[in-house]
Amino acid sequence: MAGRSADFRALLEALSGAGVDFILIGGVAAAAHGSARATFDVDVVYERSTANVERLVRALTSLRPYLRGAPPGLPFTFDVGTVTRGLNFTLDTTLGALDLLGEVVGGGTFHELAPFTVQLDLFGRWCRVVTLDKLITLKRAAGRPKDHEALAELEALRDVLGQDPPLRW
Amino acid sequence: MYTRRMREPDVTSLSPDPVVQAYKRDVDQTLLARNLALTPTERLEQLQRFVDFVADLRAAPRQTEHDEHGGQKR
Repeated sequence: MAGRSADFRALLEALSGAGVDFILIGGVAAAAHGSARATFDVDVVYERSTANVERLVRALTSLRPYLRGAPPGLPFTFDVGTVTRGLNFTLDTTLGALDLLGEVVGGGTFHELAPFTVQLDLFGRWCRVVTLDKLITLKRAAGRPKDHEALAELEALRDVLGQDPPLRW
Repeated sequence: MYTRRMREPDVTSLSPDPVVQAYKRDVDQTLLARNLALTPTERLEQLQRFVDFVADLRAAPRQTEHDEHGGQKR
């Protein structure tokens, strides 16, 4: 399972189909906005209510989620208790790498990030995606050197779109 | 009141990062323009094709190595 390339459509359909409340962020969100950079995993901020965590677990259990990079055999069970006790999970699944974030630096929780999202039609389903401006904010807040090129492209993309730079907090 | 959000940097107040600005000069605008002509789904389908291609490439050397050492190639 490790190293399998992500199946973006299937992962998003698994989440959307189960009614999970989530916000698409990261490289796939950037690609949806028009970025030409590659990414190999799906990053989402999920809503932390018990009902939504139950939907999340129901959606992913059959995909055999496991901690990415962890040695095999760890007693990791992806269930409501695990998700509730934890916050952010970097997972490998049978559909590829999936990062589940209860909170993201620069964006906070699902509810804090929700005002900075747009609904995009992805593979025939409406999907909540972080706005390009907020994506830039998140990248800047992360402060990782590896993001410099990605940030440059996102800012260039914003310039092309002719948007004002309302980098709201 | 001191909140978590207050501890986080207010990125809106940051001046443009000179490193990012330097990289920005080299961004291929034609690729962006081409992507913007696609629908969001088409953009992700394009990304999927690339990711799958990379996965195939990564698998290829292992196959070659197997062929060379396993004596099954010819």
